[in-house]
Amino acid sequence: MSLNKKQMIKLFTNLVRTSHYDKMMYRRMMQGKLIGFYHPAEGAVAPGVGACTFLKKDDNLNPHHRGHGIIHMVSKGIDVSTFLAEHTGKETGCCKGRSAFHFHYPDDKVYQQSGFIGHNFAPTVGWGYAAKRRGKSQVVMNCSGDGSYGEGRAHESMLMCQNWQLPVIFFCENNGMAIFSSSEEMHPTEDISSLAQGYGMPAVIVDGQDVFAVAEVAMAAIDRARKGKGPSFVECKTMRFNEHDIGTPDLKGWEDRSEEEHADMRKREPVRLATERVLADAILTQTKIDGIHEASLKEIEGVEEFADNSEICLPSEEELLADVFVD
Amino acid sequence: MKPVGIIANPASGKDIRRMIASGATVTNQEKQNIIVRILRAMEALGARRVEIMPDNTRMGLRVIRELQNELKNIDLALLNLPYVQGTQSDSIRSAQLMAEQDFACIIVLGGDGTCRVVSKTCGEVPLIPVSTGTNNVFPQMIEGTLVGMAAAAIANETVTQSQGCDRAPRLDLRNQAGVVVDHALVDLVVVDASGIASRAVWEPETIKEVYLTQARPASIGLSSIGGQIHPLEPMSGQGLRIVLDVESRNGFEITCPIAPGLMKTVTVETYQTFDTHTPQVINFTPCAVALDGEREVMIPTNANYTVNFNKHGPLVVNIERTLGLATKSNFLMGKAEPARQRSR
Repeated sequence: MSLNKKQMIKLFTNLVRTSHYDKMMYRRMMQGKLIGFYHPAEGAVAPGVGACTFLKKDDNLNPHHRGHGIIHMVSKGIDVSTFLAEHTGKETGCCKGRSAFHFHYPDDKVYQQSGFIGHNFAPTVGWGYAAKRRGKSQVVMNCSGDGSYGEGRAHESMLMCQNWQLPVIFFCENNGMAIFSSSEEMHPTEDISSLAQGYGMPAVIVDGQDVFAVAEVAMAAIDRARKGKGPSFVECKTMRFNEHDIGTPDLKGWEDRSEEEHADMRKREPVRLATERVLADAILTQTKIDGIHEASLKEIEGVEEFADNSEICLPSEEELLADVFVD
Repeated sequence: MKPVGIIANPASGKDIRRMIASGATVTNQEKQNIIVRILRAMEALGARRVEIMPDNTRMGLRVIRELQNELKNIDLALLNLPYVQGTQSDSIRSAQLMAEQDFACIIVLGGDGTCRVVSKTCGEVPLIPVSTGTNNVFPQMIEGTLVGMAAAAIANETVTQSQGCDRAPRLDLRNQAGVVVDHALVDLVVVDASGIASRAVWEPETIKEVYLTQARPASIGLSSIGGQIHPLEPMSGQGLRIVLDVESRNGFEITCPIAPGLMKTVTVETYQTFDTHTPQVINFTPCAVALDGEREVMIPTNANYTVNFNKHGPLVVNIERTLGLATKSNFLMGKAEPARQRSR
């Protein structure tokens, strides 16, 4: 279905919220208030919002690592207070403050976030298989970047999902960069979705800076999966405004990314594009837009307060071992 | 000899219609192959300079790399576009540069939508539209080698513009001030939608008014609605207006291919032809206006927009006629390498 006004407002709101969440994470990392590291999502927030805003609680989600999945999880409706507490090393964190990036939300069907690229593809087959067997119209939203499709697991996963007609969306957030390597170096074609053709899977390319375009495509893919029509592939052409993770140099190959490249990219900042669109189409007024920004900042204040006021994680040896080994 | 331009849309043939219908996917590798075949034909027939629009998937660059040791006659380069945005503005700006530099013709690889954006700025430079899109009424599904042959014949003026080209009509969308805000080459469709989003139109119940420059029973896409009720040839000098209403009591239903693999039934309330002297008022507002299959313009409530038939659209090379005239001029005689030389 094409988007209605209510859906466009929800998408815009989630885009604004997640953009502020990402900025908050960046700020806290720079302030030394996060443990571990942070992979900023600035410039690439629209794909996650479009993919996840209309997922159901029961749908499996493998979030993209950029923004550590906060974009995807906030959009899916997950309370991320415990996410920030986790990144802050607090007892109230979703993994009791011991994992930082490697969070886990089983009630919301987010089961993992691993540190190695392409980790998502093997469990995706399992989740998809389980969803099909349960027969309750669940889908698996499997989000990852262009770099992950250089892994053998990606191809095995696409093969098995297509052979077994599993309700999986391979959602590729292609920012043209895998840490320091450009897609041109890593793939014979910049269109990762071309790979899906080899597996007989329908594939779409969409402007990943346009949250509304992404959402319409994602909704079509989700609908297709729910109806038992098998997997599909969505490739969002997006951008990475910052370095891969805070603290590493912002290189392409051995060279710094140029100021011109940054200036060109920022012309397509997704919140700005969406704002122009909702104003031009009379979906929202400037006053309402300002209200959405204010409400988002207030929401984030509450999440930060929760994390800051929680007890720091200081587990005993006995507790640590209890969480690792099973008798 | 004037240069030839190539604008290949890296995004054509990949939109949401692969998901909601069964639209064919044309990979960029295949587009590169088509460009290579075009260039080989042009090389054999003596073209001198070709410039390719740069794009963010580097199709042009890959073609240049592939052919850099092969082409002897053609000076092949990327068009000097200051920066690549990865949006339709790349095609618009490229066509503008090619027009300013007086190119002989522009070969366009894409669908109806790509041809539309190129036609915004190509001026009097004729187009050779080659289908690599989804709904392909304006561009032809034709082998690239033949396209290259026709382009070479136009470039070296074996066949002149007036001999080899036709003037396509277009539909101008005018706002309340009478300013043309955009245009369509084949179909302009009024859609009940809140936004532009993924651009495609595939839900028949949302289609309210259809305006066409041509309507052929053998066409795919939104112009097929007209093709089923009042066939109209592209150069007829008339447009066709169709009003749809699912709740109409006086209307009639027809089933037509509004996208590849998507047969849908619509209810036609009324239809009529119109010409350059009879602007048509868009009655359904607020709405989105889809131009050649893609939602592009939002019209607010009660805004007075009109659709105007305009005979002066882009020049288009008629490939069959051009090659026929080229043959009569002995254009192909002695161009190919002699067999004796090939065997060396």
